[in-house]
Amino acid sequence: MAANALSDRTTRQRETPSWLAYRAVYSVVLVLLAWEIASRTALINPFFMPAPSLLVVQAVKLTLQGELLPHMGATLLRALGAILLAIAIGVSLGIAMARIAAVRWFFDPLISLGLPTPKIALWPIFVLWFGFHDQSKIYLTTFACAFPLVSATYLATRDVDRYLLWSARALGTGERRMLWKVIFRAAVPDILTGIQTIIPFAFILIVLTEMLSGGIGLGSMIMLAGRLADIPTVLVGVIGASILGFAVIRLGEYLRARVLVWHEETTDHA
Amino acid sequence: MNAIAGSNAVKIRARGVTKRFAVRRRADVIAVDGVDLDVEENELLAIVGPSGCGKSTFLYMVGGFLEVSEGEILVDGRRVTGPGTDRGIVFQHFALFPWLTVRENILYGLRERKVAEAEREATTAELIALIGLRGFEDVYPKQLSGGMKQRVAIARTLAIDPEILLMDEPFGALDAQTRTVMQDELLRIWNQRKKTVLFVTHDVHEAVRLADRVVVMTARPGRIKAIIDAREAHAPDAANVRESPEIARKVNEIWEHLRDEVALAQRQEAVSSSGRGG
Ligand SMILES: Nc1ncnc2c1ncn2[C@@H]1O[C@H](COP(=O)(O)OP(=O)(O)OP(=O)(O)O)[C@@H](O)[C@H]1O
Ligand SMILES: [Mg+2]
Repeated sequence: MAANALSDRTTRQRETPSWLAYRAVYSVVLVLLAWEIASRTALINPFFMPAPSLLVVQAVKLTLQGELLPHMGATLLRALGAILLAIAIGVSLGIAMARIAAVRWFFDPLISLGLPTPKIALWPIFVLWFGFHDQSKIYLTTFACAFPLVSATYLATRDVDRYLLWSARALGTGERRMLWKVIFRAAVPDILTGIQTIIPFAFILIVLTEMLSGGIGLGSMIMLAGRLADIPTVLVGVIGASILGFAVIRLGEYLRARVLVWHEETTDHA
Repeated sequence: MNAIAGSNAVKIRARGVTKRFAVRRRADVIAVDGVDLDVEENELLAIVGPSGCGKSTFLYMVGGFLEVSEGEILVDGRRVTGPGTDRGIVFQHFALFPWLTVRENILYGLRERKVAEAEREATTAELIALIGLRGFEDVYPKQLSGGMKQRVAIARTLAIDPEILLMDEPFGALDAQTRTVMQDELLRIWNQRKKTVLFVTHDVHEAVRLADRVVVMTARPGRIKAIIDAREAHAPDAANVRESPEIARKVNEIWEHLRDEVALAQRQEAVSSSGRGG
């Protein structure tokens, strides 16, 4: 029996070589290649759709002029700040709702109503409250991201397997320690899923608010370039935002696999 | 039917215990109906009965996880109002903490009870050896087979050394050999530490071999149909005797009571599933 379970682990380790995980890159390369050819042969108008190689040149140029990295940095920091704030608020409120009837009574209808509301439409108000700079952007994004996270956390902490709670009670865990010892831990996978879903939202919203307000940030850079019909710079901005979002999503996946080593979903090589 | 015990001290006393579950837009399900039962101190009592007759439900009420709808359950003369570390439980589906390793699962109750570290480690090591999982200390439950999980669940409960052991088909997921080994272990532990054990099983032979008395329950709503004294079938050195004419006779006797109930439970099952279909 012992040998069995151990060999099971080692075969799983061998199953997926890590390079296969990057198979997804091929389709991107293929599209870029087709785009390059179409643009160079003027199959599509190179003014409206400049070739990828030109975008690389443009990106290098902007970087050397110090025009790209500060914008990317600002967008990244704002998005990360909004995500962290949303986690702090969303997770604690979600847990409080699952545990405290009064909190649930008060927030449940508000969250249900607020979830489908287009939060970006509150932009004018956030600007009036917090000004045009970082705060309004981060707070609006936090606000928007908190809703799905509250409801994910609430559902996860509410629906903990009762046999786990009973086991812990019979082993001496009191009502108060239960939250940390069992409920929170059992809910971690679904909470992480909630966090991972808000990452792309956060980037979309930060770029949007930057587009609406000017100043530093990829969104502002894109808007400005657009007004000057500088399509290469617009596209460099868009791709820059995607790369940032992608990197943070991958970071999230990496952290998830580290945190959830115990979970069925985690294979050992991840 | 002497459901009420004689001379020995009563550890668990159930009086008119009934459990009704409210089901939406249907009549209540009566899972347990008016059970009177005395479990003596240090007795090993088995409960057998057809599937769905309320065995688990009864165990959960003794454990204090579910409230009784009617009647009362007393442990050491005190009314059960909730779970307590005096009553350890092994659930039918183990309920191991998936985020803890084998060792941490077994340590859990010891840590919660603030047992000193040296003692904690010694107890855990001893139990891991007992359940034959040395080498698996740092493995998570997801990597264990059903039988291994079940053994960890038993060890986790034994770790805090409760006076009462409630076990819901504790050997159900084990293969035949491991099952026999674990049965013998249970007998050994019970002989050594003198615990009151209440265990549910589907295996009539197991019930006769291990238990002092065997409670046969009816199909739902679960009532006590018969209580069979199995002690007379036990040889002086019971652990070493697996087959004896006395045991076979007791098994038959229990089956006589059980047969109709199992058939009835199957009919109930058929009716309720066709009801759902239509
Ligand atoms: N929460 C609940 N709500 C409604 N009905 C329930 C609930 N829990 C149990 N029941 C019903 O009560 C009856 C007894 O269930 P229980 O799990 O105690 O049976 P059991 O004897 O342990 O069965 P098995 O041998 O299959 O484990 C079943 O008919 C079950 O469907
Ligand atoms: Mg059961």
